Amino acid sequence: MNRVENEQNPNRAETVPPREGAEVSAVEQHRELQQLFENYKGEKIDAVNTETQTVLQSPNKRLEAATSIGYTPEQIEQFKQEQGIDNKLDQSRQQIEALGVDTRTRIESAKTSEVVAETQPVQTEQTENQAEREKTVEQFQEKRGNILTNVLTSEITSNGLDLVPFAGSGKMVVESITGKTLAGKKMTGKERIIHGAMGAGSLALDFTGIGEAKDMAIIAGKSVGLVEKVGVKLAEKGSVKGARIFLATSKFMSEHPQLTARAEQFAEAQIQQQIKDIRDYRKQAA
Amino acid sequence: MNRQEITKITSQLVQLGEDQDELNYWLQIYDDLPEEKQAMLYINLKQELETLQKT
Repeated sequence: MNRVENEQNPNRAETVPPREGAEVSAVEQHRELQQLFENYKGEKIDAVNTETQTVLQSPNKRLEAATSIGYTPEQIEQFKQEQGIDNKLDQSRQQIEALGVDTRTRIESAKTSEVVAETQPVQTEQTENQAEREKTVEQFQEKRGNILTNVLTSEITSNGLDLVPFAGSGKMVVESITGKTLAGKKMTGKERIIHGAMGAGSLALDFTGIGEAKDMAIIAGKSVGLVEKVGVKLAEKGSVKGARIFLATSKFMSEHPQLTARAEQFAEAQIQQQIKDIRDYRKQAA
Repeated sequence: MNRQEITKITSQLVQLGEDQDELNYWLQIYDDLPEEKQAMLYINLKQELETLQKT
């Protein structure tokens, strides 16, 4: 058994070629290792069978060889009976057969779990790599989202579209909308674009006339139109590049209606809260 | 830092699992961004690519 274990690693190292990182899935690697192991196991079981048979036959061969040094078959038979050799041979044969069965059983069963255990670190490593990659992507998407929010907000403020009398602080509104999602989860890159546009667009709500009617939704169901209107206003004011960015963003939002609807729900709640806070503050001040 | 280079980087990022829709949006507005923001975007994408290629 030790020989089997000792030979296992060198054999595998020769057979498994070095693989390139993420190109091979854990499942493929696992399957490949298992196939190699099954082949190796088959070879070793054959070897155990052969060696068991060789050992079982060797006592008879030795007794048969005794005739070559002058003993007659009768003398050998008499000797065997006197010494109880047949009984001893039977016992040895049974032990050898039992040992062969035991060896085969161990090879067939115990080693499979070791192969599985050996592939687990590979899978764990790949999972860790995946988590690291997702974190990297998220961090860079967040930075890009901030770039966009900054661009859109700058376009609105530098062109005098940031009136927002209802909320008092435009920066607070933008930050409250662009920071997170309705579910409070981290945002994807697409969500950051949509939330950024909605946050910046909310600065121009008053200017565009969207959301002015009392007891109606301020931004829910209207954000695509709002961002588009801001684009049109910017074009009127001569900011062609800014206008194109808003119009492209409006198009992007309309291409992702579910994300936009979720962002609108969240933005609506944030803006309504800001309005309530301002009203409460004014009441207290009065 | 030209458009061709940005396009190449975004294409490589998509192959590494980045969001194609999001990056297409950035490509679409890239020429209209102020120069400073174009540079920031370029650095952002290039650094992300380098980081992902290492992991």
